[in-house]
Amino acid sequence: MKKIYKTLAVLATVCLAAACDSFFDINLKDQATLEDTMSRSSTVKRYLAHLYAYIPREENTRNYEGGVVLRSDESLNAKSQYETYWYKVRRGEYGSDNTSGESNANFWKRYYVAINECTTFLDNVDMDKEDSPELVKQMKGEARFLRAYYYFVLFRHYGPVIIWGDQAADQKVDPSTLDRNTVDQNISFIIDELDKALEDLHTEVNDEGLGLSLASNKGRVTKGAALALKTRVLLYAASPLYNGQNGSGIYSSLTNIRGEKLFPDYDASKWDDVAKSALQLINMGRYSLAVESDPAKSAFQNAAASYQDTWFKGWDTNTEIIWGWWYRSWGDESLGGGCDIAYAAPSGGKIALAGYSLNSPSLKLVDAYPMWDNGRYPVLGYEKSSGMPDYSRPIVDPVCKEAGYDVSGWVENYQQVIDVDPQWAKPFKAHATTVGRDARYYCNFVPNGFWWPSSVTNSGGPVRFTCYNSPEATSPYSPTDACNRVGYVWRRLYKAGNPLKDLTADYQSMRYIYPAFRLAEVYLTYAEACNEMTARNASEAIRYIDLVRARAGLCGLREAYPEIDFDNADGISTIGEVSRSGKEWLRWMILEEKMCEFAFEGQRHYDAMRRMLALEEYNTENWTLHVTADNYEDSYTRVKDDYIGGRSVFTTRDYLFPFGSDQLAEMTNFTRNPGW
Amino acid sequence: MTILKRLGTAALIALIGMGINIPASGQTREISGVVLDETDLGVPGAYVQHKGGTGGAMTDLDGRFTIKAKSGEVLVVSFLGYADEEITVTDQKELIIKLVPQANELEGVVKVAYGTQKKASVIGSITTIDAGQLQAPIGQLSTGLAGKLAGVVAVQHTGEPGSSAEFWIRGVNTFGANATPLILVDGVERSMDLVDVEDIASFSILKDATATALYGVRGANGIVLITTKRGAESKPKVCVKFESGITSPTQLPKMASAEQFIDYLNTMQPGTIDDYARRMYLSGEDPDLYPNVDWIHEIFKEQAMTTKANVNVTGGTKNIRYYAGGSYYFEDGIFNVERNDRYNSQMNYSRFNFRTNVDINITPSTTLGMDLSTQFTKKNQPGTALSNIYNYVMQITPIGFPKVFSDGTLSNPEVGSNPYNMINNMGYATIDTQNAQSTVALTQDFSEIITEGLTAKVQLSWDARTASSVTNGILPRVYYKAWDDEAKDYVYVPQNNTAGYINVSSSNQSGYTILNLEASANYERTFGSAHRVSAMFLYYIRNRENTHPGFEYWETFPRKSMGVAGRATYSYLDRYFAEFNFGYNGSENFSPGHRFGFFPSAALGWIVSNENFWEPIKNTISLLKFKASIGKVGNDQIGGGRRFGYNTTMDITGIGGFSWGEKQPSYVTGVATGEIGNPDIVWEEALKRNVGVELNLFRDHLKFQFDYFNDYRSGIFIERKSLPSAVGLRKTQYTNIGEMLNQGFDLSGQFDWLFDNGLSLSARGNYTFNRNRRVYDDKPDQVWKYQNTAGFANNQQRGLIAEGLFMDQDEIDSWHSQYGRTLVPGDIKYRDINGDGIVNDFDKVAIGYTSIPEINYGFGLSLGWKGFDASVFFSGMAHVTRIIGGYNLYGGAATNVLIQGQIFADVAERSWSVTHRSDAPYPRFSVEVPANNQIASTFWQKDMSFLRLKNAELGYTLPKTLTKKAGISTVRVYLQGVNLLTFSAFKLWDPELESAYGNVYPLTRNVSLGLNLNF
Repeated sequence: MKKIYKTLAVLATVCLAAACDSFFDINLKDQATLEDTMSRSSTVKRYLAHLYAYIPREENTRNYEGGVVLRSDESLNAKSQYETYWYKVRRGEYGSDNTSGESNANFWKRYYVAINECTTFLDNVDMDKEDSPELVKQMKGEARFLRAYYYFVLFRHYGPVIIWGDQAADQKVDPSTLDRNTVDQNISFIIDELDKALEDLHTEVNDEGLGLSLASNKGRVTKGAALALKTRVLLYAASPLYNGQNGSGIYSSLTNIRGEKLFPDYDASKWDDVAKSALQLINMGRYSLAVESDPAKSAFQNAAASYQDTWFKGWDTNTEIIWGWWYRSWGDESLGGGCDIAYAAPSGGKIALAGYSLNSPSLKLVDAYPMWDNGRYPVLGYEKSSGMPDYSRPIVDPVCKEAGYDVSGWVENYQQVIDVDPQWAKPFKAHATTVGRDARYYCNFVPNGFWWPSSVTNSGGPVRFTCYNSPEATSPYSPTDACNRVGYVWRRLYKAGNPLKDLTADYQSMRYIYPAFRLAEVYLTYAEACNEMTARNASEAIRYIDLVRARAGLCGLREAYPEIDFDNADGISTIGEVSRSGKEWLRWMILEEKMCEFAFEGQRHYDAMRRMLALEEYNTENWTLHVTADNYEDSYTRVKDDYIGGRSVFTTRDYLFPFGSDQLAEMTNFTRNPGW
Repeated sequence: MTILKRLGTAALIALIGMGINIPASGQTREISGVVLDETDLGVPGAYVQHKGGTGGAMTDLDGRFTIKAKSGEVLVVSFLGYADEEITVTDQKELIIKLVPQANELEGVVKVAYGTQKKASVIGSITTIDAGQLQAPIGQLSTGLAGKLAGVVAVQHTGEPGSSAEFWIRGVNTFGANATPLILVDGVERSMDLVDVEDIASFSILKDATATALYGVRGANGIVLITTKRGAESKPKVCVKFESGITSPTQLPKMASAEQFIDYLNTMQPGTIDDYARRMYLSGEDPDLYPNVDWIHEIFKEQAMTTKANVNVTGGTKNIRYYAGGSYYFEDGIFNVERNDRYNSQMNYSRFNFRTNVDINITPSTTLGMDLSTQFTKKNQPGTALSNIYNYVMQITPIGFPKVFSDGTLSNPEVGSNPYNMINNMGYATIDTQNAQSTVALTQDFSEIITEGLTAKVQLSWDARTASSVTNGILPRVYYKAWDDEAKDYVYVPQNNTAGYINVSSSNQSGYTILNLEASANYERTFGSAHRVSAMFLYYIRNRENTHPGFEYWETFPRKSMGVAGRATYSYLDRYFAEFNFGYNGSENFSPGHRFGFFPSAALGWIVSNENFWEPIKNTISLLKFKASIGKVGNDQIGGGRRFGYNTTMDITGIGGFSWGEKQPSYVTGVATGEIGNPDIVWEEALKRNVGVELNLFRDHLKFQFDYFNDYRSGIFIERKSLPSAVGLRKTQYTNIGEMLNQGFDLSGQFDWLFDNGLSLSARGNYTFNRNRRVYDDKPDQVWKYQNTAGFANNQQRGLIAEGLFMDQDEIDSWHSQYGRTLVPGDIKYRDINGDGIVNDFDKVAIGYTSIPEINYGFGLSLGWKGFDASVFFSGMAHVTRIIGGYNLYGGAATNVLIQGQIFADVAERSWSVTHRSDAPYPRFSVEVPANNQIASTFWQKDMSFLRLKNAELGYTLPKTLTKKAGISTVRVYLQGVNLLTFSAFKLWDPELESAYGNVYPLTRNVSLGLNLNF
């Protein structure tokens, strides 16, 4: 018996000794660690590139962050089969139950991850001894800017959010204690961070001491970008939605779990901060509006070329872009594609049949552009039907009407001008509203009946865009297939003459820089602030609006509207049946100008939000040209029943986006937005 | 042959040898005799030997032998498949020895972890199946398991040739990464599908803690033990089997006919197909412009062939014993491929298996086992993605486009693809695997060296596998017909401009090598005839290398495991039993200091019927046994998409970066924070509890076994969901915090009877029920608590509760809003669960069950009479649901209704648009599928319960008097069927398929004729 025990004991010892931990040891030293990646120049740059990867996909005008274009009153979906989530938002079919995932506009997690990545970078980049201290400082400025920017992206979507400050991700946080910070806390954090970033950032990435080449670093954040963002953030903070809600008090009772009032009371001095910040950027003197002045061309053609420069002029010579990035193809964060809007280009004799021309301009947008000759905005507003704006009954400026702007008129033998050659673009019968508009109008749209602005097309030759229910139309109506459903094709991203024969290769030639901030915005922001601030200065405002207008070839506001007393803030002036005070007229013109200048640049939606215009303006039937008419002439009737896909709905709650049910479940004491 | 058994025999021989060491009395003389089987036929090749001595004789073809022996001496007669028979030599001249089939002996012994135990003393929960019951004309062993063993949950997801079934022991116990059992073939972790069913000697599943604890960190999901056949001392015995059969789909989806489809289109959009066109489509006058194609039958045919051949030989002498077997299996597919002289794109599967198991006695107490097994498999299939074929065959409409134009031009619609081309004109692909397993084992009996009853064994095995696929793909030039204004006729429009040459690509290589070393000592002895003790101690080490790792660095590290295990058992008078098992083992997945775990288990048993007081009723209740066990077992395959979870990493591949650059973008790839290491992560742990009863009645003619089990899994490795996303972690940490409960019971019964007239009857059945529940999954409470996942079954189906269809606008107007959508009559009506006046995702509740059945059962009957035998076996599952969907049900299409908008025939016949009934099984037809009608709800949730006639067999064994003249000991012919009948309330496709749309390769029925010869 003993023998057995002995044997077993020996065996057991041998086995246990053999069963040692070290058998499983593996060497993971060649794997990337935080310390390792942050101490090498190459990986630090790659980490920085990753921080930029979260930049909102604003150039994508139908999905993700850029989907606000589709949600706003400047555009209309062209193809109901390819509705994106934003279109459901437009119809009011959304709520916290279906806001999961980024494609459903739930950006919450994406940007908090981005914010924490920035914090991790800021906390560790000092380990980088391979780069010069000056470059490390610049990179810190970039990361700090981006972190502030990502907070701003959350802020404009949800309203005030949780501010972590410099705190890195805390895994031990008690979710029940989490709630939003106030608007003021959000704004002051973002502004303070931008001020800190301004100290670290250089004015250009090839500044001495950084050792970076423009060739492969242009587009990294500079002082100008930080000032531009600061200006925009301050503009939002001063605007009614975040500043007293025009006295409506819709958010006045909103408090967080700490008992803090989330939205501040009205404070007029906030407009002064906007003006100050805008002026600081203007006075940097680094940026100027892109202006072409080719003596061989007409003023009109020069105006068009100048405006197109904002998108098409190379970054090396483009003085207007303060900050931007290369256009990223949708669904792909990396580069490679051009722009899906180009799919509207003719193919097989048809236009918009490739089906990806998803966004068309709305009738409101095409109505907004001023008249070339007198510089006046032709449509002052819309009559109402059932309490909603009726786009078939625009309130037309009598001066413009006299000058030929006629909703039901026609111009025979119209010769199209911009980007076409009379050699092949033969005169045609054009609708009166499409004639005599400013240069930007023709740079942005191809109206029903107009030539596609290129003789080199996939159809082999020039094509006219015609949009009605007939096989002879180049975008014949179909209830189910691809076709244009509004009557206007969006073409701003299409550079005239681009062949678009081979989609992949031609995209390469259609790479654009998407301007996140360009000087024209700062001018209009400055103008708006000058009109609103305590010491109102109409002349200063008009000076800067006129700069933007002049680039589009338009006369100054005082020349265009001699009957308006802009300087008298409260004095009423009347055009036709519309009466407004000097301040109101100026405010309206600034927003109208911004809508025209920044068409499809994602500005309109946030302007309509912050100024709280949407309740009045978004809530409409979706008016279009009569695309189901069987002939060209009838197709210019404005109708509301041709559009498939419901009407636009906007109620007060829609000013702020609902938090997703995931977030509400995660944070049990979180304060929701009113109405959700 | 296992150590224990051999040990037992050796001990027995030794004991008896000592006990009856009677001095030889009488003279050595020549004795003759005959060895007979149970049917009184002579047994050729039986071995007759002197007990405890050497030398012996072999019976001749008639079963006769002569041997020299003395009176009083004991002779032992052995023959494979029969129990050893002993006979004491007396004065008689002619000995008649009748052998009894060994089934009884096999039943007496049960395979347990690392050994065998006497059946009576097993107090763990183990189910064993007779290898013969697994034999069926099927490609993979796993597909035959459903309903066969109590405790097995097996579901076959597709019928593609060579596909296997997914199975679990006692259902799903964890919502972690790996819920499938550990499979051990001859003691080594190997794939079950590598085993040829003909080679199997025993098949058991180990279910509770006491049965699995030895495997420690690998055993929590239960274990399958398979041993293969080994040789026994005998003349070579050859067994030849040949089966050939026909497979056919159990059920092909029934799609709308051209007429039904046209009517459906016209209901949806009146006038779509005018009377002229309708007539043309239906008459088939112009099949190019007005096609009428039954796609299901163009793509699938009704039958295909299977062939199975097996030959094995077993035998040996006292010192060398062998088993060698080889088999070939071929299953053809049911794609309706047209013959061509270029290549064969039919889906088919072939497999070659080979195995030799050799045992050599190096010394009288030392045995060397040398095993080698290889499998080559080849699957042939069309050169295009199979899922596309299945999708298109159900999507495309009878009138969309012709299969091929009448002049032979290849056809393809303007949108989508033509599945006829996919199976015929797009090349072919092959997938090959090569597998080999080798084992060398040395067993030493220390009975005479150290102490009685002690043996030791060292076993080394090495396995390898490689798999590769070659695709010979072709993009053929295809056309559609369109009107041409200039030609004033329909012309062919080419859809692409390809050359149509074969393009070869090979890929998907995978492979591994495994080295496995095991050393064990076994001790078993009975003291004073009342105390039976046994002990086992084992050490193992295993190294698995991935020879074709992907791109993740951690895939290149070998997967290792190492550990020790032990068992001690004690029984008193075969009435009271106690058993203790432990595993102490580890895995390299965890951080230093956290790698090893100790997994103990204990069990108690009481055979009441062995008590003295039971004697009076022993004839009625021949066995009554109670048993209970408890223990901890682990699961180290915790997943989370990563290994070495203790390691903090940065992500450096495939991370989003950014493009800067003045004149052209220069992209910089990103680096980002990666996994956050957690040094404390370990395996999942299962606390397994089991109580069971065994009851045999009427001298064991009727047997029952019942087990209740409760498996509490903790430490399930999951992402921390309660951490708010606002914290901003790019990747959430994984930790061992999930908990899940799984409980249920399994029950089996068997009845055997031999009637006086020679009719034998055997009936058996089993039933398994399990229900699991997520106890904790770290997900925060949802806004509406009934939407929590914790508290419900794992993968509980969820959806709205449908209240029928809206009959008219009034009904819609008086109903609450559904997602704020515009509704029309014929749309589905849903219940507002939370009463907030609107139906939305917050109203989705737990509905029905999951797609893994809670109830699995099987029952069968076998009859034998004279040379005839017949058996049937049914298997079924219940408490299983699936939420179905797709355009085939809703109507409409992704792009073009005319081409891709096919619907089920049943939809054409019974939808709301046709019947206008609020209880119609399908909602209204519409061009654009209303979002309202596609939502997961009870409307689309279907009960997938079914009962299947899984196997049936009819056989006839020719009388031996006839066959032995031909030198053949038995000849049996039989007809065998698999999946013959299916009974289910669900009619659209086979309910077992893993599909919400029905678009997978159908399960197949097989009817085979077989011939079995034994020499």
